[in-house]
Amino acid sequence: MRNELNLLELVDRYLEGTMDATERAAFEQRLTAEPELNAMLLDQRSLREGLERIAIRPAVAKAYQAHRFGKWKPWLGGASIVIVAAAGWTLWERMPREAHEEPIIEQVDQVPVDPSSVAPSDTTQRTIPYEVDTIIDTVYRVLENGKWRTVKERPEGAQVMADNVSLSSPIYATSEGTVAEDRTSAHVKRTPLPVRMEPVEIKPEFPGGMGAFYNYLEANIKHPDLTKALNGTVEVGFTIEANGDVSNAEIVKGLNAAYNAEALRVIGSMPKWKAAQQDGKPVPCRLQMPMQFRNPGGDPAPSLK
Amino acid sequence: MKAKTTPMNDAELLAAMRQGKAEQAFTQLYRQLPDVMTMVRTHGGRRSDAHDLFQDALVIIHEKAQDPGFMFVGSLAAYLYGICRNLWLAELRAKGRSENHIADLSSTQDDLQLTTENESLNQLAERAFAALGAKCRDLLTRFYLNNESLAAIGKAFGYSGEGATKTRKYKCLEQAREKYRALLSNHQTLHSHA
Repeated sequence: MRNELNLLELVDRYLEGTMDATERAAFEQRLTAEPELNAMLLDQRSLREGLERIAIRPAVAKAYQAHRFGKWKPWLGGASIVIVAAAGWTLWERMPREAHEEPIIEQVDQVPVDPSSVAPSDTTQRTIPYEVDTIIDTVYRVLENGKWRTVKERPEGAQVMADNVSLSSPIYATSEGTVAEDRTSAHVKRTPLPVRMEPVEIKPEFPGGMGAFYNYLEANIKHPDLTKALNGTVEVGFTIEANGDVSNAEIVKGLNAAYNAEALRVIGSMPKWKAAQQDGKPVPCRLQMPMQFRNPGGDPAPSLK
Repeated sequence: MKAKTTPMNDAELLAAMRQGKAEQAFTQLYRQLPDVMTMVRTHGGRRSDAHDLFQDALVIIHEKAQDPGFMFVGSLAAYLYGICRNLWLAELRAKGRSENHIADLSSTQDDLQLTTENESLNQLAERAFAALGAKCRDLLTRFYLNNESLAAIGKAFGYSGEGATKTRKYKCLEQAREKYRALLSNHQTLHSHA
């Protein structure tokens, strides 16, 4: 401990430039000879930069508040007028300054191919042109009167106050209260994806239609561990029985144990489908589809604001 | 209750940031927010993205301003905007989508890419401190940023002496270092998958 304390002191003095020429030369010699010391130096430099950064964040938040309301305070009183001003500012910000607003999750408006329009004599594979993509979206929860309320966007001026060890749920603070970031919801991006089916006269259908199927996937697919979210595809196969039950779900091509289990879990928990039909009678039908998992953020750990 | 003041010029803005009056400088620089908001939203981003970006850019500018040799082309406001644009470009690249937005944003040439490329990496140390307890953060802030003496800090926290304070400081720093290294290795794992 004593030794480490002394080393830290040396490193700090080196970083602050308070060593004289001899000391510095000696220290730099040590750096080349002692990789541990060098590592300590690099870490300490980054940490001290990080400390300065986190220390300046409150000034940024205050500046934002001053920017928003500073002009009005000396002239107006009363909360209601401030709210009007805030609303006015918000509206002004929303005015047609922006050429167009593009949502972050792109939905491709594609009409599903009507399966009955595909010739029944197609014996190999019949595909529906949808692609299911899983990306991580973020929702925020605001603590109000002891209860959490979900909001779509992070309240303005929010600054992170604590980051729990799992690295997935930071706590922010605003002047109004506490906000938590929840990155556990998954979203489905709709672009063409092949759901291969055994050729049948009338395809099996998820209750509510294939659009509802993708809604279902959207609501239920999750990365098993958000701190280690991967990019990859799990190919699953399953059977829709003549009574509509989902059965024989299996991994055709897997990713890893956790992701395979997740894919099977989602398939296994589906409600009954409308069974396929051949010659006017319900028949079992085998389906196979890729489930794509993507981690678009690269780093899923929350941002420090 | 702000009296009406004339806007600070670039030299004054930098001086404010160097003399512990950063809030004033930031407030004025916040006038650039609408332009940044437009840029982000016309390139596939949300309002919250623009807000986050802008905050990061101010922190970056503040860091840069501490270097007495800090120089930039054009105005500080334009520099700020350039930082924001590069930050957004880096984010889009990390997400691996919106090819046309990326092409559009990278068509403007500047030398700010280096500054913004590693922003997510640069924020790791910050996050390590955010995960630290408030007491540790306070101790380290007093020591490293406020330049308080070990004796003064020890008194404020009720420690038995300089030695105890020094040990406490070291332990807090070690905690921060551990969290930082954990974040670092996590960051590297994920980026190798991108």
